[in-house]
Amino acid sequence: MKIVAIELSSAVGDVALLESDRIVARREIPFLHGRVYGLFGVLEEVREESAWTWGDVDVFAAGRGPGRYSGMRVALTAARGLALPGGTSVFAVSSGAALAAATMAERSDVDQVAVVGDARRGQAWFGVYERATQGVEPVGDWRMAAYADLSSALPPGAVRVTSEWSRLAAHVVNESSRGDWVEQDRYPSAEWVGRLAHVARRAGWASEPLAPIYLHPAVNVS
Amino acid sequence: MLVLGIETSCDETAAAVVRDGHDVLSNIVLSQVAAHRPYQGVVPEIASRAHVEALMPVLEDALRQANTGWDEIDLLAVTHGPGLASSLLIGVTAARALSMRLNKPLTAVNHLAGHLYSVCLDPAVSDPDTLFPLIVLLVTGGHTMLVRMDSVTDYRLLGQTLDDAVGEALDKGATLMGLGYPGGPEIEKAATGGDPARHAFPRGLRGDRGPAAGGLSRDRCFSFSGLKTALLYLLRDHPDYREGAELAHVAASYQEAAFDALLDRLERTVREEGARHFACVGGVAKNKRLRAKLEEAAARLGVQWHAAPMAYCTDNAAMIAGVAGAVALRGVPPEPVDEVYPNLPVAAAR
Repeated sequence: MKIVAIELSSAVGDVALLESDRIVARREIPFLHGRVYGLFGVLEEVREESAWTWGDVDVFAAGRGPGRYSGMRVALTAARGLALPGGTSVFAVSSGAALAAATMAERSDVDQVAVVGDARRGQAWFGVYERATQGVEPVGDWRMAAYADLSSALPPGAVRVTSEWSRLAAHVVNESSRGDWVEQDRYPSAEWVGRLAHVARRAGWASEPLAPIYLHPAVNVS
Repeated sequence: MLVLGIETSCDETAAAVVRDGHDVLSNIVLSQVAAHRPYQGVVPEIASRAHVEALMPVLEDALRQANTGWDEIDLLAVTHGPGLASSLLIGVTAARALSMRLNKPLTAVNHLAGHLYSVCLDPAVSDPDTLFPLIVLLVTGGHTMLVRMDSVTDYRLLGQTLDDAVGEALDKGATLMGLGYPGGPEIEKAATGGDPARHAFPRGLRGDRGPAAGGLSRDRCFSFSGLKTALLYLLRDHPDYREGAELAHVAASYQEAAFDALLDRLERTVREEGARHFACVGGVAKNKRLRAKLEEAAARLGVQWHAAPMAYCTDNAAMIAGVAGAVALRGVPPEPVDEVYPNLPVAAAR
């Protein structure tokens, strides 16, 4: 199964080509405002490197966040646009699930991961995942908490990981919880978006909704 | 030549297939007006979210309605500006993905060039070259300008608004009058039976011949801020004018003042440029009162006037595919799609 995966929901975006769950090619997207402009050049590079044609691809996968709005939208729109003419499958994967799965793959002692992000305005968003027979499973929905309340909102024992450690640490980490955190920026990767799409496709599961995960309403009226 | 056009510059998600720059095989427009109506204007975040959700089905509908396969498309065209950055980004991303997958050329189109060209989509206009030189009054919610077209690839900005677009002035006026959104159609409806001469609203910049920004003559430019302020004060002093027959008079007078300002600059420009044709395009061009006044102006000037067909007045992708096809057929190579340009001026178009 040939998979093209795109993940752009954090400050470090990338694309990956996978043959089932084996990486064939992977490339970071140079950070530019708008980022889409780098995306297509990189996609063409990795396709040529792999000697695939777009028609060979079985699944286009995209990270749906939560995270940077433009990145989520571009990833999903690009995947859907590449898939549309050939009627190729599209799988949307929570970028949080991809980050949690990567963390568990690196640490066999970890069975529960809380993925955290900065929702601004004094709030953090978070989602909790636990190890499953195939990939990871969410524990409840994405939630928001005030910085001060985050530690108590997260399940004890869950490893806490964020792509915004340098921003969030001062706001949400206290001495008693410091040991639970992965103390560096960790980014969801296209590799794990692709792997989770592979798991889902192989298991016959439906894709997650082909829409970004928004944790704020479109209009804040106060 | 079959061109697939994509337009997501504001609050309409649109795709169309046009043959040879003229024959519209499909024109799918998904309007988001209902989503924006509670806010009396376009909310960029709502627009962008809606484009992400709607664009792929709209593209499929456009191909289906045109009875066309993906392989039959010769060229893709997408609006790259001006417009809302987060909305333009969705159309540009989809267009680049489709172009890459299909290995077909993609060209960037200026949204304003699309509007200017929309008059050429009239089935009655078999050869656009017979219209030139053409003075075009472009009137939308975001732009109000006078442009001289000497061909489909050669045009020059002659005048523009110095503050609000006329469509924006109508939207804001409608809000002040307690009417709905979008304001233009609401004011047109409310003005039914009203006396357009009842209230003497200002016709901004009339007779003003001083220099204007950007090297444009002020007597070819527009201003609607004074009109809005006059309405604000009138309704402050007469709150009862928001109802019944009085509302009809206010709406008719306000609309008349806005359109008189347009006609004043248009007529002067047509005379000074020696054009034998003028046209009106954009969403405000759907207004029946404006069309009647344009008809009268053409008779006074002794020239022919043309309106964009109703279906191509508000934002649509047929005008994008149309102008892209017309330009390509004249041997102009595709314009690379590298960025989105929220403030792209009309002069930057080919």
